[in-house]
Amino acid sequence: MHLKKEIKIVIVIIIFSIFFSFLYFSMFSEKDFKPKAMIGKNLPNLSSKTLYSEIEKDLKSIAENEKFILNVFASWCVPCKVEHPYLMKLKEQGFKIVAINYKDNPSNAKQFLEKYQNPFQEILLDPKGSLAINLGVFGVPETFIIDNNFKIIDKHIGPINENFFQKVMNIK
Amino acid sequence: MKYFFIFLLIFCNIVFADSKEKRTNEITKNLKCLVCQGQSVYESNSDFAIDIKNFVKQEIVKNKTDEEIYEFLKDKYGQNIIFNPTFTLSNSALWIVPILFFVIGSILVFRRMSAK
Repeated sequence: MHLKKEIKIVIVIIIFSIFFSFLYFSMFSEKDFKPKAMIGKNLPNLSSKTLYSEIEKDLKSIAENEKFILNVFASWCVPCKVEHPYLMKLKEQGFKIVAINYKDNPSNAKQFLEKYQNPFQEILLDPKGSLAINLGVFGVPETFIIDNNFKIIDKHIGPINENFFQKVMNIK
Repeated sequence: MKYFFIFLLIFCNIVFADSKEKRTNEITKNLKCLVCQGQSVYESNSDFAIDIKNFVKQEIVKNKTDEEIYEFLKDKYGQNIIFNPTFTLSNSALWIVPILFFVIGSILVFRRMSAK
């Protein structure tokens, strides 16, 4: 097969273009990590002492087969202050919100909630971050929407915003 | 005799603690710190990495195997938490392309050499 040199060069360029465009677009098809790996899975059965009662409680028993929001927060986390008004708004709309207090000092957490008000029905303590790992949490704040069968239907990394609020309202 | 048992107990403790530490390090070196830029869990001191290190230590104490620990973390954080990913359709190019390049290169070199 004796092709002209120019044709050979064109063929090589086409093959390389296809190959590199495949690599380029595959960079966007899957992100570096799957932050939403937990979506669609069942909520693990977690239990811990609570912030106010110091009694060991089970997350599923707090939820009582109701749709609810699970928020991971800490008093030292600045974005948690940013999202707090939206949590208050969700509480006003009648949503049950359960919190996990991540690697925090309980007295600081109480002060935080006194200052910004408490939107949470119950707050489980997670002093070593072990509950967070069971939920596939990357950092604080993180918010999960859980249906009445304890299935995680959505997750938001970072402070929740108006979009998330609207999404929760639509699910309701 | 009493001192011998005390010595034996201390010696065993040190040896087992050391092997657990080694296993923790080996596992965390193969885990990606997902909130860092190109660091492993072993190298990072972020909250995320510290949590994972503590978790791995606890699981080793509970006599969990390496596979069980990796499977749990893959379930919670996805396949990409492992530095050494398993073969899937989406990452097939990663495994096939180097072999393909080697084969094509070898053919080209062989043809050129035989032409001479």
